[in-house]
Amino acid sequence: MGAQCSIDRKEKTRRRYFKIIRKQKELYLKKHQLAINTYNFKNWLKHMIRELKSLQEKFPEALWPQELVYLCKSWKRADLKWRSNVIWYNYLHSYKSNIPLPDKTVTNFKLPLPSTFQVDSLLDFIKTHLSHTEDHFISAMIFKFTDSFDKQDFPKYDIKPIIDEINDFVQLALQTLLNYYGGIVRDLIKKKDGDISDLILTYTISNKIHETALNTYLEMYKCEESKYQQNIEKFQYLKCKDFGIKELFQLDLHLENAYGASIDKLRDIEKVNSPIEKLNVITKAAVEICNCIDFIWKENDETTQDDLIIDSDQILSIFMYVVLKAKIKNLRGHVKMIYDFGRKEMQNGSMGYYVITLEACIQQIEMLENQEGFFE
Amino acid sequence: MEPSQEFKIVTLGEGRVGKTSLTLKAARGQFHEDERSTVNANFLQKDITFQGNQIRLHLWDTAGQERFRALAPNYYRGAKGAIVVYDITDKSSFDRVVSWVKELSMQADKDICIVIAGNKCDREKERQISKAEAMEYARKVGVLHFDTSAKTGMGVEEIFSELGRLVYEVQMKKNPGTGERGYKSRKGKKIIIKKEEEVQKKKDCC
Repeated sequence: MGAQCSIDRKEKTRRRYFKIIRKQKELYLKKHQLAINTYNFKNWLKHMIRELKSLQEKFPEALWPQELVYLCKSWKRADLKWRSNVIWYNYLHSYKSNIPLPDKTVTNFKLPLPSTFQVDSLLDFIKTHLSHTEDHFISAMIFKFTDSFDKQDFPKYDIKPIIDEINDFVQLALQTLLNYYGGIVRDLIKKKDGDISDLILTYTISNKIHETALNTYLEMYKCEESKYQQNIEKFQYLKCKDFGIKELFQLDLHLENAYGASIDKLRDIEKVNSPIEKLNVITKAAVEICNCIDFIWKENDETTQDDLIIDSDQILSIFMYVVLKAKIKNLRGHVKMIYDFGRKEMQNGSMGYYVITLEACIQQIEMLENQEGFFE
Repeated sequence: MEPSQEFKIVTLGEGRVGKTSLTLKAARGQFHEDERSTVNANFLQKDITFQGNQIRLHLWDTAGQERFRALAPNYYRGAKGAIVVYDITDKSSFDRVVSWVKELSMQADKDICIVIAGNKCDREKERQISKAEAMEYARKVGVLHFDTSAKTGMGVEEIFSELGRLVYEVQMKKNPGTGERGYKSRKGKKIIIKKEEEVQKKKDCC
């Protein structure tokens, strides 16, 4: 009897719980109905084909517009699960508790997505979709693009055709994304317009595209690169002091591998393909400069906060030291990639500051011999 | 509150005139932080409010040493505002202001707003440039002049607020619809995110 009562109570609680959830879902759908249905979900393929026709006219030599038309025509999947996943993710996120709990509880929800995931934002969530080339259209489209692009030939001394085609493809993918996911993603784009474009670009620049772009820059700036490499080798013996770095920041007085963490971080620029990832590497290299100085001086009572302020003359000098010691091949090519493929808005922020500083260092290293008195 | 507008501002001037201290004072309000650690003071942000709009200024400090002089154009490229700083106790630093203003007028963005800061005003007794002379020069070239002291904070808020206001007004005049957000399409046109279209049946989506 007691056991029966307990089961009834549990059943009642369960029903009440699902009633609340149902109500919340209804409220959510009512509130977001317009956003959810803003775009004609069923017509994204037609939209794509229309856009691709104009791209075929613009790039008659390119293989990818035609390949993408084939992809559109052969795409028979409804792709509904991806869109509904985004809607339900947004629903769950909008009802997430704002009350900080001492012991964080995790609720598991089964979404139509086959694998489990852990994400912080809708953008991260969309990122998880982009690795499903088999049944996610945009993912398949990026894969097809990179595959076809790799087979194309480009002029040896001109980067512009590569930039034009990649930029146009990224814009096409963004437009498709709007039509594919509908208004929820539109709202995301409204708030974080650059992030989503960076995400697509990151997936678009394959190893082969990266290599092609870098080789083109190398051909374009052959003389400059040769001079740069010569000077890198020639001036390896230089010490922090020679760059005009103030004594407190002359870490080679204390360590064999001064600014080693920053030098290692900067070398990572060769391992990443997209402009945003390269920018991140440069910014982290700048942060490592501070960490390296902190390592020596933070606990030293003789230094004041004012002593530990790095001004622009000092950061430029330290960066020159880091760049020289990092001995990165075709560093100019990596920087050019950021300028040519990255968003212009990024270049005005802190990331932009360090890219310009890096660019300035390359110029300075190239001209080292001609600058009499530079090291005085 | 997220800023509605963001602008790049550069500080220029000879070495040791106090450019870094000025931006640090503006962005942090103080020289000393509670926790002692290395500070990269070359890129800072300052938010100001003008006519109810939150404006974010990205403050780019530039190298002042002569050996880095040729690199300055890299830094002021794309800047919407510039603060040219001189030290009131150093006549030669004021002479450099003249060449900076000239260079900015010729080589920076056409719509760049320039202001001049006569820094280290806490050392009035050592002044080498009379205020009248500095004001007369500023009037002649059509820019604003401020007396500042990074040490006492005098004029620091004013110069950044005024420059922010000037830049905002110039940019709003130039691009009245900047508030609208959209996407650049392949042909360089903006894809304006449309208002809600006709509501589809709910079953379409899930």
